[in-house]
Amino acid sequence: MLNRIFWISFAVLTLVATSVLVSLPTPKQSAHEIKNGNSFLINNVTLFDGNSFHGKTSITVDNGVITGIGKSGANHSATIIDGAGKTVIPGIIDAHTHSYGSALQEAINFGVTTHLDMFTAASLLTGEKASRDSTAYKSQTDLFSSGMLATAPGGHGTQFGVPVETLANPEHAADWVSKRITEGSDYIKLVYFKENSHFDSISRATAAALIKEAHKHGLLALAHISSFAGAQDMLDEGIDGLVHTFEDKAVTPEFLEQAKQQGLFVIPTLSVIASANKSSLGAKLAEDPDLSPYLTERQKQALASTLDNHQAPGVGYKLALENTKAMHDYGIPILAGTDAPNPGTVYGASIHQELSSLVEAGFNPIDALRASTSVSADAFKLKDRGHIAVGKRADFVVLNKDPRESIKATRSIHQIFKNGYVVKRVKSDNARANKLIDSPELSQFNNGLDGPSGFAWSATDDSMSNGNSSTQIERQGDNLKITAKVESGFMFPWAGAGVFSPLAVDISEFTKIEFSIMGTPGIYRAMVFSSDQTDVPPMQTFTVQQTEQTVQLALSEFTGLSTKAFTGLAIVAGPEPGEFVYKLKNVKLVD
Amino acid sequence: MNAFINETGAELLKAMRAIEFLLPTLVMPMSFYALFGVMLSGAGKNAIYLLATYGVFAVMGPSIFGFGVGVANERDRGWLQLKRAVPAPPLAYIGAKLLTTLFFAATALLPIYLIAGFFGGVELARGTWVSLFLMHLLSVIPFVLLGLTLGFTLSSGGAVAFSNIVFLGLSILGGLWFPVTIFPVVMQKIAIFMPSYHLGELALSIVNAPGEHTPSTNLMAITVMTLLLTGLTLFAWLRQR
Repeated sequence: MLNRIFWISFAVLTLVATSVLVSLPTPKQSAHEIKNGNSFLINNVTLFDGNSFHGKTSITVDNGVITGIGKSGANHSATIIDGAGKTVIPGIIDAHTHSYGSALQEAINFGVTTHLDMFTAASLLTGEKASRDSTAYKSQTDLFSSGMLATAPGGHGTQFGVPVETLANPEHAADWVSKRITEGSDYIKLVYFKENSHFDSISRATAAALIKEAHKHGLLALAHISSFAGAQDMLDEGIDGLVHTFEDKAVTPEFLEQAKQQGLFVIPTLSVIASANKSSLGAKLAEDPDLSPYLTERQKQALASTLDNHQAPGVGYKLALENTKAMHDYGIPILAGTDAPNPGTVYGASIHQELSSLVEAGFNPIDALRASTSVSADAFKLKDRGHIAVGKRADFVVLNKDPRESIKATRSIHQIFKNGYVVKRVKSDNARANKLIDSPELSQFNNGLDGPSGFAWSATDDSMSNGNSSTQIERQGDNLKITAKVESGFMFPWAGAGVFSPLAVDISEFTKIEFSIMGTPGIYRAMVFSSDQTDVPPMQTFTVQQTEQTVQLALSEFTGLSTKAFTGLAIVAGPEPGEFVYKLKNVKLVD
Repeated sequence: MNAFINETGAELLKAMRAIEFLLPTLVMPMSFYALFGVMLSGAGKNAIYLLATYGVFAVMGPSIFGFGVGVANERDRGWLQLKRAVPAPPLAYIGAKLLTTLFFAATALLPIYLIAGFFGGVELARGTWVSLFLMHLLSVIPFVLLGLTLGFTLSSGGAVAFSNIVFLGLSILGGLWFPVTIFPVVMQKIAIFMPSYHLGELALSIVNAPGEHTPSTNLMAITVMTLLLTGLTLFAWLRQR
């Protein structure tokens, strides 16, 4: 009997263990991961290694680590990628973020592979620490962070509704810093306002104690300041870096000299200063043709908003640019950082604005690139990133254009590599998630005015834009009879009928629109709509005669139509004024 | 061989008849993991990290209690003395206990894996799941030796108390419940001398979350500790005779 207990027990256990181990979830990306791997060779690529440019270079990557850089590609058993015409830059480092929510997934979509966070939830830190040291498959930005920020009760940082552990006097500094260390903070960030009516601030003595304590533990101490005077105080106390530039006063030669002597670095965050200055840089960035397809509506709205100026008085974008340039010229390391997700900035995309702003300040594009890669890595003593060199992590961005010609080239992303794996870039919801249209038959007038996929027919004319035209529609058998009075009064008058849906559908499998039409002779127009349009819809003209004829219009001729996000079609008379009566039937999409 | 199989069968039967002794060591790791690794807010980020360390925690219970308390009990009652007189190889006795421990270690591990995979959002390559499972199973070795030493040295009452202290000490000081990095520096120094700490780090390296030391350092440390424990066990065994 004991014999039987043994065999039954172990048979059952083996069976259960095997079935559990076989059914446990594996990473969803595994197919993608296996297909691409993280060992490969890129040939013939223009390389920016973090410091300088090199023509026609090959880069060897083994298991997510760069193992070779050379003039010609050595024999490599793994995948060989031809990089001709492309430029490789190190994965971008955003040196000032607040990484909440889906920050790390959003940032990587725009080539940002490292976040240097300046205040976020401490609970994030342990998990992120483990994953940023690994070269396993990852489709997220790596996080370094100060964790909690050091501020006074009621000080800046306490207004966001997240719990903040404030400190009131220098005696608390040692305890405060050691708590940050146990939470896993990578550096210490403090908020110091010398004179500011809006927020209380820690005293200079407290700031000095914090800096001393951070240095005692080998951590960098960084300060958020709001004025030149505040920056001077922090410099005198031995701060390592400023997480914003000052824009109340021009930097003085004495400050520059002292900063250089002490090795100060500055993260000017021009993007957020621009936003506080009510500039439209964010809104313009959202329209960038290289970035816009990857920005969701929410991100576009965030970029278009601006920072509430009441909380940050005295901001001057121009002066910020000038100070940044002056410090850069004097040899003070300048790091590119955005302060996302403050209004006017978003994770990832805004770093491209920051680079453009640095160039606007007078940086040459190579220095701007350095500011977002090697300079940041060196300032924060990050050993495995910021450079493309043997032994570094294979985080890099492949660009279609050369940033030496225009810094906007950093937006022309061909591919993003994280830990040597290709990142699957996510296009915005508008462009990707739409359903295929239910049926190619856009009209069934013998049944009613409904079309497929929630589309419906209605009259459409310029009266919706305060024009004077008017329209009546009426079903007659399988025809739709349209009586359109086109009247001048609107810049571009029209009247007719259209089929519209509030939800975009994918019609990309079709190539043409076809319909039968007869009526008042003249030139008519077909207009198409897609969800990403902002201005005049794409259109084509055709002639109508008294006798019925079938019209076919190629979708490709509607320049600017997103066939993956189709929202409507209108067949209208105009712009010449007059009364047009016509009959429409069998409106459909054809292959 | 037959003696060994029968011994194991007997051990299993004994354990299942007194399941109330075993149940806590099986249920506790599972519920701790569910709480700290999955249910608490913000825990999702730590699900992988804690899977590696709680796996080591899970196999410690059956090893230390099964051997420590189990052997001490049997010694107290003179069962060990009797054993020496019966015509069965002494290794069958130890081997059967070891296999039974592995059996319950696996039983404690699998629910944690299921919780991690299906509720904690942990996704690992198939090979990684299997390696982690083997790593966790092999982790019983130093704990079994520790349990044996306790069993050979202490009375049954003392073994219960002492096993508990050792069990909790190894769990906490070894960083199996919380990463040692959040402890005061003194405690972090102590962790280096805990087999549980190095086993935890090795398990972490399998799931690609490297700890404070390189895997080879951990492996060396755990090998040295295992050898020392083997010596200690032999000494305790010889002394109790």
